[in-house]
Amino acid sequence: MTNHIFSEPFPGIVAHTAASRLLAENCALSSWVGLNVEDIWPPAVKVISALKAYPDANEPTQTGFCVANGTVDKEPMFVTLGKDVERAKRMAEGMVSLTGGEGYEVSYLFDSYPWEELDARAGTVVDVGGSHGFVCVDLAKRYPNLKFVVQDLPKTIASAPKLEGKLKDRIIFQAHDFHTRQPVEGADIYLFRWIFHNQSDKYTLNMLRQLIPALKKGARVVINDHCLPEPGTESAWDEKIIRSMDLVMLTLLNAKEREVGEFEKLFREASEEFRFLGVTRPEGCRMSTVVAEWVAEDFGGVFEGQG
Amino acid sequence: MAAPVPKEADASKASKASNSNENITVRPDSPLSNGINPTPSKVSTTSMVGLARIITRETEKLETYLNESRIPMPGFDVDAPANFPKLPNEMKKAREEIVRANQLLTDLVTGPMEHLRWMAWDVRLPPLTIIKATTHGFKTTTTLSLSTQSTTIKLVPQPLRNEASTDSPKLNPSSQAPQPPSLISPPRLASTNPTPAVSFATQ
Repeated sequence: MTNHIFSEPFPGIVAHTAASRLLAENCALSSWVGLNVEDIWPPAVKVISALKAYPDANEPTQTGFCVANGTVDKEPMFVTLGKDVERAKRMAEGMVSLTGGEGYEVSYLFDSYPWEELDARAGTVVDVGGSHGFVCVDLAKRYPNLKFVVQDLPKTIASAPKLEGKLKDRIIFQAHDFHTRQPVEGADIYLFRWIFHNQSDKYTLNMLRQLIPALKKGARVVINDHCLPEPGTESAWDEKIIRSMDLVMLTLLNAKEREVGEFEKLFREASEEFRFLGVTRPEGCRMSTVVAEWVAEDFGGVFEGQG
Repeated sequence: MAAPVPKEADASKASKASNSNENITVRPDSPLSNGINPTPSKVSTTSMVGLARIITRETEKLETYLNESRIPMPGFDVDAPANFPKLPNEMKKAREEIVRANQLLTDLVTGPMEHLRWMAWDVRLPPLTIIKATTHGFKTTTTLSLSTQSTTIKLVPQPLRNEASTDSPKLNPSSQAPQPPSLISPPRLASTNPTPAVSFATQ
């Protein structure tokens, strides 16, 4: 009650407040709170144990979440939650509640990249880990000549809603695990939205290297994610949210949000042939768009895929 | 400053005086619908400016007292006093009232939805100074919890940050937008946590 959740208008009578009413009536918010309180807080207090035992913090099976759930070296969080319909549903709803909020609208992506130019030459975008393709649907509606391939794990692709009309011909769905060799060769853009922040450096490096055999000269990798600002340059409010997200990623997946320099380093380590083009962030948007270009000849040639 | 304080601007009294039922929604199945006439919660009718005036009035009271008693001003520099000295009752009340009005005003301007959302991460305005106080007290070396998240970052000494930034990578100007120099940020700050993994040392 000291937090404005319920009130006591008369002794012994508990009444709703606007806040408790939201918890009762707003499923997305209630899922968000449940997800945090039950699936994130217990792992959060195990992060130090996990870091002491596994200081590399690179494996999604060696996280605070795994320590708290007794799944160390057995399975990553998504597998654990996937086994429990209720928890999986709450996770999905909770994340929608966050990323569906202000500052995360897909429309910001329109202003973060010169899509018009790509549209003029009827370019192809591969949305790696694109879930059910909702980002591509929005882009397709706005840029009528772009073509899309939405890639995700087989289960996700299988459950994607069927598209209607022209969109159906422009947006192709394809089952693909981004830890393995990229099957779409010669696309103009490989888009990763909300993907890099789920992965440790070890796995993001592999993701980039798995792209190389498919990259034509001039192909671009576009990452849409948080980009950690220099301390104190952000509004206090946004800075706390972005940095908190960083710690949540550590807690759950041994993943993280990255600074500009860290993104650049990833590309440099993946291959000398990536040219880092920089980061843009539209006013009012919490997410940034990181762009790098493949400057070597088509399809790298030298890479031996591990997938 | 000496802000005029109309009728003590006591928001809680004001709200009691203007009781009305319009702020409470009673569901048909609620016990409240059964003949009991609920009073609206104080919070919903509290004036924001009234709270701001309380904060101004009480803060002036406290600061004047500290000045006159030659007590050092509160701060968070490393050598700032760790605590207030023993204060007379009136000053104790002033402190409590500042914290109460400040928190309530924060909650009101945050709004119920975001209040709930970020309470789950303990992200609340005005966050920095209060959280910093916590870290000074506990050093944040033993527990990393969601409630002390960004605090470790704030404890990184300035010189370390400057050193780190010297090897910052240079950005090639992007073709689509000019890149302000502030986008070149130093490598991730180390935390005060002894485990290296928090700073994500590279493999």
